[in-house]
Amino acid sequence: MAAVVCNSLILSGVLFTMGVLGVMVHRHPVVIFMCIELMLNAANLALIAFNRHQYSENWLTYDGQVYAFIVIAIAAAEVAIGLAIIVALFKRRTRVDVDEINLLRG
Amino acid sequence: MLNYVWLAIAFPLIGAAVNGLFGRYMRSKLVSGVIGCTALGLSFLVAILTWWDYSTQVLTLRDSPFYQVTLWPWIHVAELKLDFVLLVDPLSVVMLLFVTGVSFLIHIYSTGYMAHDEGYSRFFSYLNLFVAMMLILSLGGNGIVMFVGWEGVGLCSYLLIGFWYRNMYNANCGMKAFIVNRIGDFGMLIGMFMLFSYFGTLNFVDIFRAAPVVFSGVDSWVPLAIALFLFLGAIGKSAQMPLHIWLPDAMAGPTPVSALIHAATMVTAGVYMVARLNPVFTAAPTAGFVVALIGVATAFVSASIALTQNDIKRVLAYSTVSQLGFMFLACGVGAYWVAIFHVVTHAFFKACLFLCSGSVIHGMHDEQDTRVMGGLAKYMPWTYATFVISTLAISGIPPLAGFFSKDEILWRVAVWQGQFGPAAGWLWALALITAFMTAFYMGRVTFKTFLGKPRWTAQYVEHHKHPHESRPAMVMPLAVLAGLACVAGFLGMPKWLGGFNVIEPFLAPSTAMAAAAPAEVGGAVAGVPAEHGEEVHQAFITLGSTMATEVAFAVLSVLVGLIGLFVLALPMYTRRFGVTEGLKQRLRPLYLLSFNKWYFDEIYHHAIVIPGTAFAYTCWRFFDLKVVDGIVNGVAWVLGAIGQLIRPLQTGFVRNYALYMLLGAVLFIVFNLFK
Amino acid sequence: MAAVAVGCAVAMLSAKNPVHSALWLVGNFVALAVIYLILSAPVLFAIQMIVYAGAIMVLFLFVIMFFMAPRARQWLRPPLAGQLTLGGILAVVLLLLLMWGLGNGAIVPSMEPEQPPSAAAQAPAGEEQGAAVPPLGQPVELGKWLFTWQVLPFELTSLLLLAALLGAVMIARDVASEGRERGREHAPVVHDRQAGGEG
Repeated sequence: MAAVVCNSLILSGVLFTMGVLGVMVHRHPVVIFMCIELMLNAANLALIAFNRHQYSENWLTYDGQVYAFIVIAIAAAEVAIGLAIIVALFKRRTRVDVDEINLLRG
Repeated sequence: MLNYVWLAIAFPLIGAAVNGLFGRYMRSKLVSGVIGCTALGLSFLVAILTWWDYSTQVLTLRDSPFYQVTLWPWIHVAELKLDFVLLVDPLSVVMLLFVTGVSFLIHIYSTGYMAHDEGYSRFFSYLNLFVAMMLILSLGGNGIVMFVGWEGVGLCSYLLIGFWYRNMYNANCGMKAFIVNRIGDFGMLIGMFMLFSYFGTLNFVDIFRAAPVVFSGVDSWVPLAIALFLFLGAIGKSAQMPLHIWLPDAMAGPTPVSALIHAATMVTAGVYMVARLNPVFTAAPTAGFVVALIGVATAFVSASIALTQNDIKRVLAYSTVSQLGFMFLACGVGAYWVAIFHVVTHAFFKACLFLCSGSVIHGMHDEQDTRVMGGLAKYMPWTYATFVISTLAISGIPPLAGFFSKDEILWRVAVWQGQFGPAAGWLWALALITAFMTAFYMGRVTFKTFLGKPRWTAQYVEHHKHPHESRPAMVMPLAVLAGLACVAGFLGMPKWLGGFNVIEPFLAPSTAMAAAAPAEVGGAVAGVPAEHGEEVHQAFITLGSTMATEVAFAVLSVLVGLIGLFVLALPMYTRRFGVTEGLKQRLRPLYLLSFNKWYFDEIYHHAIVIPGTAFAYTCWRFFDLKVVDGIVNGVAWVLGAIGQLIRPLQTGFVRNYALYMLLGAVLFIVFNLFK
Repeated sequence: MAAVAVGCAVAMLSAKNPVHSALWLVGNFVALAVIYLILSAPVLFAIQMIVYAGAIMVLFLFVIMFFMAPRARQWLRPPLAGQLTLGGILAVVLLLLLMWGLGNGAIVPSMEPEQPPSAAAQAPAGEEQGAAVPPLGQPVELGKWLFTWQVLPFELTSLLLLAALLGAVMIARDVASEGRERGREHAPVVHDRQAGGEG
């Protein structure tokens, strides 16, 4: 069991980093958003792995899974809002590129 | 009454406040005048009551003639404990009396003189304030209260000289007076600091008591330095050389101001200060000599300048400087009570002279040049009479007041026994010549103004037929002052005329403190005889030792005055005018020297003013503009530069910001992992 | 499964077409769901599949389609200077840090948290006998946990969802077209500074 947990944690880290990289590099707003989702999922994986690690006869807990569940719910909400923002931003533009949003340039 | 002596200060202060704050709302000018005069009248009343109280209590005060009234605790910082203390002792009582008295008369005079002036209530406000400050000065019980008054009278002098401030010249004269005064104040302050550092207190009574002990325990340069610094303050305030330049220009102010401030009271503050701190001066004989020297030199030089001036007020101004020199001469030789005596008599006749000149100016419609006067005697009889009386007084003609005080000074100089005794002869000779010049120029002014053929007809034709006498409000003080000039001398008669001398014993507790000092104070203390009388004649070595000598001296000085007045001046200026022109040509260099005030102003201008302004200009150009502004602008520039440096971080691109966030997150993790 | 997940992620990142990226992300989610199952979280497996792979990705695809104008795919701007390099470096650093942290055990806590009394002390009624412990992941157990211990976050989340719903509608509405539908006088007054194609 410990090996699975460990591997899951490693996987979580790797996925998270890949999500970070994607956010840095991509220019399509939706793709960036998808990378954010990837990061969230990596975190969820870590949570569930920890839950699995913690659960024992003396210590019955489902905290990790509950939190993962809530994270999913929150991610859903965030997606809704985020996509709404993206839609609002790029509705009348021809080019869909995050770099176009630079009015705060100083 | 002794405890309420502060009322004498309070009344004029209230008068000043009322006139100053509400003057413009008063419908009639009379109200301001009444307020001003009443305040002074009440003050004078307080003075008389205080004097009466003090004299009748003199028996109980025998052991301590100094009566201190502490008004309130003022500065208590570490070892510095200074309260607002008033000191009632013979000296301050004398000052109190004559300051309030003369001021009262001048206030009454001013109601007439300034009647047509739009700044009427402002004038009375300043005048009252001045008297209050002068009283604070005279009644002050420690150095700092005295200094408050000292500065206060300087301020009021500035305000009053530049009273007609719309004329730039008047304002500049006021500034000149104040600035020159401040130069002296610097010396005064240093003197005060030294006094405090050696005595631990500035309270006069404590200083008097501790003086013998303290001064015997320090090097002899200490009292000398203190005395000289304090005297520097007196030089500034009392217009001695080389800081006398402000007094003639102070004539730009209204005549009552000249009478009050620059004849009777403020300029005598220096004499008062020296008399007040006489233990310091007696402990340093050299200082006394310096004082006497400067005094007689000033007297001589300014008398010589007065010989050729044409403005009636300027002659009187230089005369004041000259007479002040006499007073300091008296202080220098240790005859402090004589100096104060001369202060009082001089206040009477000089104030009278100034007020008379004001009357003349008023009658001549603001004309001050004696060259266009003449023959006014029959049109302004009262003015003429009082002016003549005062002229006789200042020339030292008995039985008027000036004789007694001035002659006493000359006598004291002649019998001076200090370590500079041999120089006394020169001092005396200079003083005698000065007395001669005094008589001469006063006679000159009198005759040019009042006698002889009128020279003013041309400009008067369109106005009136002739000048007229002044109104009663102005003439009455003249009469009173002239009367005082007549009788005041009898306060201090010399022994050979009966010895009815009340002023010397009265002042003795304040001025003859050297007699109480133990014998081991200093080496050769300037021999100040505690009593007038046999001691003097005993110590008198070179010039004979009988009372007859004193009489001879007196007769000599009277003769000198008479000659100057009648033998020379009268004929020169009433009948033989040609003589003056001839003299002017033949003695042209001397004439120029005298007429141009010995070029003091020009020397100062070139030696001090011009370099000073050049220095200030350089400071401005270089230091202020480049350094100070440079620093301020530089700071701003640095901030801007920093902003410019950081500016590229604000790219506006969201991805860059995400990168920064990642950077922060990584740093945070690193920090937490490895802490 | 881990390899599958990583592979899908890599593919997602490198896809040129956003639609392809989305599809690869779906694959990633499915792989993760299976891993959840392995980790004894069947409830989450189901939820992940339904919500994430089902609803969320569908939403993503809708939006991507929305922007699929032919010209939209061209990157006319040059890539930002230094973004790739610095981002890459930092990402690698992050990865190393995470691994290092894992390896050192600094991230995985080793201490036992305190025990909530009820769960351990009382036996769920009728579910077990004696000292037998129900295995991890039973949905019933999760449900019990969710509605007793974690009821507060649960309720708050529902509130959050409501807020998000409203917010999304508000942000993305088209005020101009609303005016057109209902008539000019009904159009809300909005000063749209964002209008205009180019940024």
